[in-house]
Amino acid sequence: MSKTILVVDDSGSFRTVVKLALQKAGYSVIEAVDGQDAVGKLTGAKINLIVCDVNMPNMDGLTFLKHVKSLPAYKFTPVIMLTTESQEAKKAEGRSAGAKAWITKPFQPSQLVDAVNKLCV
Amino acid sequence: MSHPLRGAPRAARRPGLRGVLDVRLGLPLLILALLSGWLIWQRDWPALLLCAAAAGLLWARRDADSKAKASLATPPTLDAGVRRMATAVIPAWTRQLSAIQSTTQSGANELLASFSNLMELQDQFEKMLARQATSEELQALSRDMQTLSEQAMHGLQFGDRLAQMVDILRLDTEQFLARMPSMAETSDNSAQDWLNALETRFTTEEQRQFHHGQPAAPKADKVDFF
Repeated sequence: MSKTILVVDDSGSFRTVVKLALQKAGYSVIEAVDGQDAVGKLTGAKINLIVCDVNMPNMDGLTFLKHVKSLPAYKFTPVIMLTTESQEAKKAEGRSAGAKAWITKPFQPSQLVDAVNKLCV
Repeated sequence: MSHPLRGAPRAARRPGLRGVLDVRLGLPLLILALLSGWLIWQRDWPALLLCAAAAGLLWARRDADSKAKASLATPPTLDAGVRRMATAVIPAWTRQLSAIQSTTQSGANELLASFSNLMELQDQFEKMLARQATSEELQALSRDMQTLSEQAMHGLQFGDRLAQMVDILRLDTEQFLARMPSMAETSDNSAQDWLNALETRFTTEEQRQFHHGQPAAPKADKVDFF
């Protein structure tokens, strides 16, 4: 059975690019439009890894990441931040909140797949 | 820093003509006052009444004139504040437009390169079909196609970055318009605060570099593992 990745991004085109790349690599993908939507998607699904944007409306990626890490069921689920944000301070914030990788947009789909393969064990 | 009165009308800075007008109205009032005294002495009450009416009219005109003079002399602080803020902020917007232009150009170039390579690959594929290519050749072609689709997917992402950059600029111009009525007290510091606040909304290195008037350095795609 294929592993499931939750992709959280407010941009539909980015979600499509990520979904295409991950599905081609054999993963199942669940999409969420922002942090708040993603919180709802966590219940009732077995999610193996989360790919999340940082700047989003309603609930931003770092707030969502902190929420995920506070849930016992998802405490050890790896989270990859995929964002245009490249400031070291933001990366440090993501790291201390529990993110496992930080990929800066625009990204090469193969880089994302490699990172997911590495973390989704 | 510009002086608040630099753009004021010439009459507000040199009240000579207005001063003459004051004398022109003040002198008849003085004459009327003296005449009133003489009319009281003569007990000529109808003439005194006419004299008082004339004095009243002159006084009302003088009052209106002094009010007009006061309004002309008020420095146009709102205009000066808006001008100071616009002088600082508009060049920053222009630089962001340059960043948007640069992003558009590089994204479009990347996509064009992908399509051009794709057409080349299609030619190769047709030639391979014609001469019944080996499976190794077809596998190599498949790998090339994979690389090209990756390149196209990378290029397609510029649209989203553009939307983000335009949105930041749109929000800033809207805020500028909303804040305009209260820009009278704008100082050089508040213009700098505005620019700093704008910078905090940037997410890409390119936006920050253009904000500081630096050319955008080419950036390698990178993954940081923690």
